[in-house]
Amino acid sequence: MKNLLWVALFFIGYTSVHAQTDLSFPVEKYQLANGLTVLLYPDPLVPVTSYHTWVRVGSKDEQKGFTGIAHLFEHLMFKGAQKYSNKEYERLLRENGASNNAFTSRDYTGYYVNAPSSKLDIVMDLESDRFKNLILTEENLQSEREVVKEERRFRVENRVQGLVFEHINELAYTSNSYKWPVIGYIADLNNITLAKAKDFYKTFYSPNNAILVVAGDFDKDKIKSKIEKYYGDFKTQKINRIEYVDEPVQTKQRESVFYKDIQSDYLSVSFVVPSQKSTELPSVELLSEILGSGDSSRLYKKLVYNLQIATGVYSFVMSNLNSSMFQIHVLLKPAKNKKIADQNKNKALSIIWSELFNLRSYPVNPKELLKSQNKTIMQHVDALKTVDGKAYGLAMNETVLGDYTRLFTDLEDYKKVQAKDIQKVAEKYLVQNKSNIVIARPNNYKERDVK
Amino acid sequence: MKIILNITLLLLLSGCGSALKNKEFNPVKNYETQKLKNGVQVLYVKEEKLPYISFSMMVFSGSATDPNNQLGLTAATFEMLTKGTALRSATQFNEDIELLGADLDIMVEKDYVNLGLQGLSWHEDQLLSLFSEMILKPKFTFAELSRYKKDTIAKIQQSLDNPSNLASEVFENKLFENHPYGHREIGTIQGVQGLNLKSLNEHYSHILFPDKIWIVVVGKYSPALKTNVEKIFSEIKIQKPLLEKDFVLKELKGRNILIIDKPDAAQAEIRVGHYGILRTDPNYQALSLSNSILGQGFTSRFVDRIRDQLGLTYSISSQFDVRKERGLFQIRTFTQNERVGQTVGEIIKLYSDFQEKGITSKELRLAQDHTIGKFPLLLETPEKLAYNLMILRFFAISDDYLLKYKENVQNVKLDSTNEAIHKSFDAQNMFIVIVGKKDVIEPQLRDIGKIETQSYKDFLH
Repeated sequence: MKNLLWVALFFIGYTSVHAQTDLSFPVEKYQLANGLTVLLYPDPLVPVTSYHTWVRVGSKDEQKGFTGIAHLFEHLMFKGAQKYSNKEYERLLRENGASNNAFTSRDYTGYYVNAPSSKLDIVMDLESDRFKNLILTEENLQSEREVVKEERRFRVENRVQGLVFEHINELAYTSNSYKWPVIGYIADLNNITLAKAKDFYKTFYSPNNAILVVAGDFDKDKIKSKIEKYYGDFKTQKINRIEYVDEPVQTKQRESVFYKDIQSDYLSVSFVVPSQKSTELPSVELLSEILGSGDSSRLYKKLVYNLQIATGVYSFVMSNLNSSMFQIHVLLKPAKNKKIADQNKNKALSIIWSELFNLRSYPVNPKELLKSQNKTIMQHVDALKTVDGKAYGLAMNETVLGDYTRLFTDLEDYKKVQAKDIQKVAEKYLVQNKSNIVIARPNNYKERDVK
Repeated sequence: MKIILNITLLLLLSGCGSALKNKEFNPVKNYETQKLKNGVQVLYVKEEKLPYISFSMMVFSGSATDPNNQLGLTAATFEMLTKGTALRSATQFNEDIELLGADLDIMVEKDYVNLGLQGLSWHEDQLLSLFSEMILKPKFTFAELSRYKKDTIAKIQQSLDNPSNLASEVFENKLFENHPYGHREIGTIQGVQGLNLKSLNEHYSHILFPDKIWIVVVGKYSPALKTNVEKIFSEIKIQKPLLEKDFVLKELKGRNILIIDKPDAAQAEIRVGHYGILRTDPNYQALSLSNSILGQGFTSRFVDRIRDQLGLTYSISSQFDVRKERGLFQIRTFTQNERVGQTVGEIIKLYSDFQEKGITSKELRLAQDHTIGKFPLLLETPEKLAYNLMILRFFAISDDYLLKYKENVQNVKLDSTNEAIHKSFDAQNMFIVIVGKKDVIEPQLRDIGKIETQSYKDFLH
């Protein structure tokens, strides 16, 4: 036979996922006397170091009327401290070949610097300075507020997808702080005073509320003494956190429609699902893979491939500390007229309901389950390719779940999921009267919709 | 809880050389190459720890080879490779790939295409089988092509709903016009409408020209893999290469402004620039360092003035897009519709000053230190190393570049750099595209240059 590889010898064990997927690496965890949690992962393979400092504060810790302060504060952390001004901070990182940035979510704020390992000392000096002795000025607050407003216009107001995401949370959450966007509302950003910003720093930027992760090429003993030197005098504060209020169980379907200068309908259906800590979440995530991730997913095959009424469909779980959100997004094709657009929109919705019905009524087939588990392993592997990826994974698990080892044990939870588990979470959470529908429509459908 | 991190691949190696005093970081030793009897070349970069493997084919022909009446042909040809083979239907092909947890990735650029398949290392045989089947046993069908055409036309229309995409695409289209770089890689609506099976088959047979192909294998692979790869890809037959097209640029005179009216824009997108430089430019390294001073990172002149001092934007950057022929130089930002005049005015002022006075020795040293210092980060993973090695091959640059680069960066001198800045940047002759509210923006720009306006709807057909 000419070429054996052409024979469709495509046999693999369809019944079980590969057993050998140990992705763990050695990490040391300890705490300073002031409560700062430290995670160290030495890896001499490449001479780079990833330095992450995460704080357990996010938009969920904000008060009504002052939304966006956690994210605006993240910006202010780059505006200068006692030892190094903002210009010196950026110049020193740059001339030492470092790249740096930060991000804010509902539950945490993370700061990172990736640098050549020979430059670790200067990175530690710069980072500890701003965490301990940030200088907040009226001038910096005013200019950064304008920068953040432009960021909001860029990410949210000028993009249909950004607006859809904002509407979903406003619709699905009625009574807690997951309702508002991390970036905040313009009017609320205007309410934030220098006194408020100072109070925020004092309340949350404390060593007992922070996690320091260092991964890469360094000497463990030397770095420990340096961490003590740079952070030992970081003063501990009492953390006054507003208690998260659980969302009442939703009993009726909710819907929100808005209009924008766009070519076609954008449809989303979302459900509140359990938090990151829940043992049910892996089942929800695998369900999401099966339903709407990739060209072989159930919704892609129906809406994009067979019916050809959409250009894209995807589902995912936005996981958070207190409750997560399962979202389905469909980008419908531009239609010749509103009548056809209405038909396609209704058809897409009815297929979503029918696929959710199938997930509640029947177990998924073994191939679909295996596919979703293999994809999850691949995503884990992908995320651990760089030292920055490793540091990020450690920081995320320690900050949100209080246990970095979940980075290594997580995969086992996904491998254990059975078809009946997926059916169970579908029955429990993915029912129509718990759904939140957000639709963005072209402006020219507005008048006719109102009639 | 899943952790998902996007790995940003390097667009172009802009710095290397080790800043380390005590350790030598030599990434060049970590790969192997092989030339097959038909001329196809193979690059192997090994990963020791993580259980993944990726196969990719890099072809040194891109959307610039599209015929004028079928703009989008290269992208369509490669997309159609994933829509079924002689052995599997499109649905079956995707099922089989995703069952392995693997990802297909197609990147179509102006001068090259990268087609990749990444999965778990214990699926090596199945992944190689699927990857090679896609390349060597494609089956383009009428039904799949019709579906592709409808989807792509809808996607082109929808992409213009995003003002940032619209501004970038129009900037490039208008700058290059009928030049081979003057259309987006995915094609135009008319070009996609004109695609047919015959042209796809012909185009693919020319594109699959062995001398212009690299197969790249990265990951944890078995000792048997090389023999299998050699056996399979030696089957690629020698074909006629694609005809080269003419790259003729029109002259850019004065400051030409195009305002694209989008009445519901919450913000205006701004693009300012002109033609770029060639990779073979003797001042390439000096100009790259200069651009990093002007518009790269948080310490750049643009960020310092326009973001930090004036609070006009969240992001502003400048970059060269270096291609086989002259590419472009572009400054990108966004601001409120009401502050476009101020923002464009400040950009031109800073840019003119930069071109006229050049950079300082302090700025040059900072840029050199940064470029040298970030070297290990740029080549940290086997994937990043492979990608950069391929870019060097694309530009026919020796791998010595990696070893000598620290020295080359250090050797850049201030006087010659400032001469090069004066010659290669141009604050007088440029093209400016703004997407936003015309009625608000137009009066603010009258003193800056010659203004033309169009509706965003003009680009939907």
